[in-house]
Amino acid sequence: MLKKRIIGSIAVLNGWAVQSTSYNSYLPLGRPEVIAENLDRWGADEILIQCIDRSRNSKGPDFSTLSKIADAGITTPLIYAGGIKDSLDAINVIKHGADRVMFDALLNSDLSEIIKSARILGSQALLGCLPVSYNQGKIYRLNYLTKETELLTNQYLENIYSSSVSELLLVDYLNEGLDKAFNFNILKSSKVENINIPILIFGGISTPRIAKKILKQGNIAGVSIGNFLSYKENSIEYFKNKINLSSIRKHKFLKKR
Amino acid sequence: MKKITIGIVDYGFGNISSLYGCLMSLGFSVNVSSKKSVLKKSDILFLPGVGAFDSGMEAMYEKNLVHFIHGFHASGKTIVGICLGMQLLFSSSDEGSSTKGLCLLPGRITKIKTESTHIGWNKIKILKPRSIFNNFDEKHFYFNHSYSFNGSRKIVSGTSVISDKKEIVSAIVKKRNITGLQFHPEKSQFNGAKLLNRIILDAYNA
Repeated sequence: MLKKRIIGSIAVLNGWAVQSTSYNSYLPLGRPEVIAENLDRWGADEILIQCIDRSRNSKGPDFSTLSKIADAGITTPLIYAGGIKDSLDAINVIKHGADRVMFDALLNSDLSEIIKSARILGSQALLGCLPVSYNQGKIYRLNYLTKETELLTNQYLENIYSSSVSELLLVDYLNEGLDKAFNFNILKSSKVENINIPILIFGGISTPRIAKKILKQGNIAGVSIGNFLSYKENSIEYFKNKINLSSIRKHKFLKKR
Repeated sequence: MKKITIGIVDYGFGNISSLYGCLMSLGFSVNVSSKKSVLKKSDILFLPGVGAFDSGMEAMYEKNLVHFIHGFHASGKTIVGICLGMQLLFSSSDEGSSTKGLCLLPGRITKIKTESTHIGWNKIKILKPRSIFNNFDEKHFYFNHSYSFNGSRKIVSGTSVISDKKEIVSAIVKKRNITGLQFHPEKSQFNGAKLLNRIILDAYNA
């Protein structure tokens, strides 16, 4: 049976890996390729590279960072997000070393380019990223570019399904980078329970206990963890051992490559 | 001793750098190219691929690689297809229109039935215990596909169960000098590299 995934997330700003808090304040961590090498060695199930300044500043994908990570000989699948404007960018992201492409701003601006990407790359190579928040029983989505929030509607979700993305990363953006902060109300909402493509969760997941609780929900295919993997050597194995669910893949730490 | 030379067919589809890096780390000499003059020097040919069947085959035709691949196969040298590269080895696919595949293996690629996609790490079951794949029974590999081969079990060496409804997909196919892997060994960490090494050494020593 397919295993649920523990995904190591690397936030990249101006070519440097950063520790991000609520996508608002940043502290440098180092070179993204070094962090990716660690996550690879520690047995991450996928690595998500989020180039957080690219869509906002219309810079296009960060091919230089992506190539450096791919050339480091990473044997863990790479997901790339940031600055993808059209299907050509998506194809080039794959050519530069990513295995999968995550769309953020394009979900709000041009679904036809995502559909075009699916025709060429296959829907399994595509994911959507949806920053959400919870307030008084309702789920709101954040538009990356305008910074405005809107009620998450069934129509919006239908549009996402029609775009052919195979999975959706829900980001608890208000709690991103904060310790033990993931808002479980997001998962309890019927809106999220009824999402009919596999969901990945990111934001405020700082402990194995939180990750385990999220992974127990049926439609959750994985959790993505950022800052909190950087504070401990071999943190992926630590998380996996503590989560201790048969639905996740155990990994034996490789001391030497 | 001569270094084994691997050719990776660059038909414009997929993440070739991962496969290149993985094979280089195993100590093989690797050429990535779409040129027949370069690829024909290979001992073993790899067809990688991320993408849709139609687009992949169209790119193969555009780069005039179809005839070359048939010739390479006829010479008795080994061809290894990965993910889309494996699917292209078959005659046709439900994905897209009626574009013909490479027709090196009999059968049609069909849509997975019980799930929309099969993405992530899954165990494989080796069906032929005396095959070179025996040591990889029950090992996890990384899958990322929506279509699979669901035809004659004679050429299937390994399978994977993909859903609660127990749908089974072909994970490894093998017929004479052709091997197809539905998963991505180059992205399957230690076990993936070990499997690639095994396939290459077996093919070269055959």
